[in-house]
Amino acid sequence: MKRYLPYAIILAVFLIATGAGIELYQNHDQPPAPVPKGKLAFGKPGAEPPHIRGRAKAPVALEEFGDFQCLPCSLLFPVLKQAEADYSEVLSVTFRHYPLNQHTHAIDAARAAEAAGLQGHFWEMHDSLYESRLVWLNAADTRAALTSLAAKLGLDIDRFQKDMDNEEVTRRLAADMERVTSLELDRTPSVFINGDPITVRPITIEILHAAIDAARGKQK
Amino acid sequence: MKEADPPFANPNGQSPITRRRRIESCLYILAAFIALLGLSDSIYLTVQHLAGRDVDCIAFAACETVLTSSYAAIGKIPVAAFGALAYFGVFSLATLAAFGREWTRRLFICLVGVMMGATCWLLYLQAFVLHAFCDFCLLSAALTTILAAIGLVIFFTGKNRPAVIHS
Repeated sequence: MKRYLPYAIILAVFLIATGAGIELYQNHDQPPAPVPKGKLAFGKPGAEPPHIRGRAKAPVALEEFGDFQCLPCSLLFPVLKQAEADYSEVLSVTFRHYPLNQHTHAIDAARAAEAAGLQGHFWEMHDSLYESRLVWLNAADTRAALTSLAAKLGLDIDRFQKDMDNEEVTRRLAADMERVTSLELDRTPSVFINGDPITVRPITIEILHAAIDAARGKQK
Repeated sequence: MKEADPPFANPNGQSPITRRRRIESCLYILAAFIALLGLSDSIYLTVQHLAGRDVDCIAFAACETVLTSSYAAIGKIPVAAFGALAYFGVFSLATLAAFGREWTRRLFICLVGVMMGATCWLLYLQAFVLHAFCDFCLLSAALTTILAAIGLVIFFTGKNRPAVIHS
């Protein structure tokens, strides 16, 4: 009997661990992430996993479709940062790429953000691209300027330069653009809160506060 | 084939081999308990990853940075799942060793060594690439470090083990 005891213990632990894992997986005690409704419900999913700042289970989910070259997007950037600070406990922000055709450097900037993302620094590059938008836009060599930004963030430069043309980066950008097309978006920035679009322009901090409060109010 | 205790014994009436075996058995039992803790930790992380749920970190606010980074999964398999497999392996080997299955000793030491190597790599990523730490990852690193220490002790006690006398 003692001969088989260790195997019995191992089997018991295996069964308990598997059962606990399944039970934990099926346990829905956490509030589910807000389900996109309205227009967003019909869109393609976009790049997975998405770039999300804040808690993924936050009750208010803001999704921005942006272009690093576009001026209104760069004007919205500090407004969004302010909203993130004001609603840090309840708001998550997802960024989707929507580089407009007429913005000749927007694709390179989006690639730079994704390449930084492959090193775990998407949001740092995102912020840096908006903060120093004029620097890289006016540079004679855009890629060199973007590489310089990556260097300031302490990224592995060789890898960053290779990753700018990485297949994964291309695939993620294409996936976000598929989402843009499926949602029939026609401008940047396009902002949705829990699936509802913000249609007022320009998007000010007051408008964002009102929209976030309204989204929270609907859940109460 | 039976091992015989050497004719000399210490004042407690235990031969050095018996004493050493007892110590090793205690170490294996300790390792099995630590592996169970690591198994729980990594199962939790695996399930939260697969279910797409947040992990409730306490000490480090940047936990999500680590757990949603591109390093958190290999393909579609969360890294924590490999950790769960490894901890289950350590638990199984330690349990078998505690019950006197000598052949598991080397496997145990090798597995713990590989886990320590992986832990160093993951700590490097958190400290120097992601610049963010995650509570559950650090807990796992601490548990693996203890397992590695146990593995080292077992390795060195085994090296000095007296020749086995077969009757």
